[in-house]
Amino acid sequence: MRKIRFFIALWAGKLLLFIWKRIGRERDDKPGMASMRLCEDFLEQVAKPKLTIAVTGTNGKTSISSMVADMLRRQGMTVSYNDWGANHHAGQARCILDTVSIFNRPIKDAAVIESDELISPINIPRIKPQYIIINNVARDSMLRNANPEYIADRLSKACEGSTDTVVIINADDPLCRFIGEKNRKVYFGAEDLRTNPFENVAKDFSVCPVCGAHAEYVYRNYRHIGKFRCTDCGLTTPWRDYFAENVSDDGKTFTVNEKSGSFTYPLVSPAVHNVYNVCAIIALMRDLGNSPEEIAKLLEETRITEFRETHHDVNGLEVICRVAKGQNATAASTVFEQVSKDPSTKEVVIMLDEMYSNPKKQETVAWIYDTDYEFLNRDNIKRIVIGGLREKDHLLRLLLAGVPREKIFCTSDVNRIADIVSGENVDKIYILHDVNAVSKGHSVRDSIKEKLMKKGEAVNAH
Amino acid sequence: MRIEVLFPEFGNYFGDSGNIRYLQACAPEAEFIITDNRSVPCFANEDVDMIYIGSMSERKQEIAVKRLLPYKERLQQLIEKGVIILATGNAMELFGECINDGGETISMLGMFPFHTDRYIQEIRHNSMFIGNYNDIKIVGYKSQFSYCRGNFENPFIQVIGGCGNNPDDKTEGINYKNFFATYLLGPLLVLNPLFAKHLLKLMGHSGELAFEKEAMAAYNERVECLEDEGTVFWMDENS
Repeated sequence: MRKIRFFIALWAGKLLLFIWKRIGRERDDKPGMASMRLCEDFLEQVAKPKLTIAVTGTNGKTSISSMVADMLRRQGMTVSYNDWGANHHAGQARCILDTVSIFNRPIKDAAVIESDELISPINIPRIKPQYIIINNVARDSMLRNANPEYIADRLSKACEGSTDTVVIINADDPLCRFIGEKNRKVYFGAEDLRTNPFENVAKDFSVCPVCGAHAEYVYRNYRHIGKFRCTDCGLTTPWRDYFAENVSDDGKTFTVNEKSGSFTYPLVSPAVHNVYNVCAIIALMRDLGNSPEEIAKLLEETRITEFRETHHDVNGLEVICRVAKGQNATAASTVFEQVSKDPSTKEVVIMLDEMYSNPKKQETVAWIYDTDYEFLNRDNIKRIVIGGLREKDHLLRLLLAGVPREKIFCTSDVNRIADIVSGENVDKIYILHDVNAVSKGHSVRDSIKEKLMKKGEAVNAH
Repeated sequence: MRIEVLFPEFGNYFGDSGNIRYLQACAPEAEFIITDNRSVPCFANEDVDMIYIGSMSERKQEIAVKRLLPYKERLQQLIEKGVIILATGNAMELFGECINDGGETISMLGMFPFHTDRYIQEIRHNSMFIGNYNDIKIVGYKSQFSYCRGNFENPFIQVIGGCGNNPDDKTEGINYKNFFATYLLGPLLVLNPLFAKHLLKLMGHSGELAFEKEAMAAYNERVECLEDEGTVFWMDENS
């Protein structure tokens, strides 16, 4: 009976997938949803490709999984990858549906599965991938992810349910310290990258997970990621099997030290979190038996999809539109820090509310008190424009962060942001929008560009 | 004015540090004593006017109780004496008798007659809240894996909208003398400037709050929204 139900689910999913592909909706996870609904243990019963890699953790999942899928494809493998952001049950089922025939036999060489960390203890033991990459665990939406310790526990359970899986894990994340204790672990990490990270108001790691004593950083590269040690019980960062060091001055290459030597690789992007992303990928590819030269060649041709950021030049003024993630203090603070560290003079637009249209529905603003609005209190940030229904809450937070009142401009109507933005006496305009408001962010960006262009034309006419 | 903040290194999961930030802005002359979990609390040997403890992870609740247990009697004395104690989020659970988590029972301070049932494997409860504390409307958020049950003869807030100590209880939190504990988490005092003013007044501080105009504008808008009949109190992950 179990088998019959599974095959009905498989065929229904395959049929839907066929139809969806024909009508141009192949990036839809409904076929996977159908299979999961018809057969609860579909993920367990469905055959997996010879190589199955799951990528999970709080940040960096999409970047890592897309680069891994891209590199495997360029090695000549056929790869299924849930690259449309559907990293839940249905998206994962849809991804694997694409790797098997109607007889439940693998027809692709590999599956790269971006996996939501919260559901990982349910799905990872069913999929039992050969590898799981865990890049970090950090504060995220409290509504969903509660707290980082809770997520670390979920990931531990995921690994306990699949002990044959090799866990490739960030040794520099103290919250990951005890994940995968029964698995073979491959640690990656980085030397002191001298990034001079700002101090955050909310610290994800502050006490030793073993004894509760104050945990010290030997160095910190960003947020809570770095080399730590407990002053009391001696718990420390484990030995890094793949250790990133010597990032070149131009940020284009770095060295990874491993037991068989030290090898230089292209870095793809110089951002500090990318050093960890690429090091994780190198650890995976080396463990799969690829030579450093082969990996370096693959990385040379790898590009990060920068869908989260756009740059436009309007009359000599740079307009940057960037995802900052509302409800996520870690992501928002990281973006605030990047904006703050940019020495240019700038105007910053913040539109981080999740709701723009339904005043009957409230959303929590607790997260803004975990977020470092203090980073926006800088002389070279000339104006801050808040757009969205929670404008009054953001205003109060900015005032408590010490930002002078005269620098802050608010509107509850995001369509009015362009009217308020001045663009005068600044080099750049940053538009920081929530991940669920990409099109709204782009529409605000376009309105600002239009206004600036008209202004430029008027000046030229004079 | 002396305000002691207990275990801020881990008692700050949901923006709870906003409470202290706001008190610091309102009363810059006050002394803020930061006590980490390995230090002897200041209140153990000295007088303080207020003690604050915020939300923490489930595992850290056990550490916090272990650290506070030796000072249970002292805490009781201080409560009877009228010292303000404010516990937000799941810090309230520390003052009950125990936490039942599956088959496990974790002892708490046992200062008030209630217990906590934790449902960590189930769906997280996320909701908006509005209620009355005397003539002050209190607004806030809840995000938790647990409910409190027991004898709440000294409730803090009468529920108008949202969930109380548990889905069957129309009261929220505990208020005995100047002890205030509530599941409402995060920046409670920033969200509730009238309550912040009340606490400051209890400590002898009068006058305007920091950014009172802006805080009241945000508060009034939130109260108005939450009192509206069409308001949805339950929040899903995308609110």
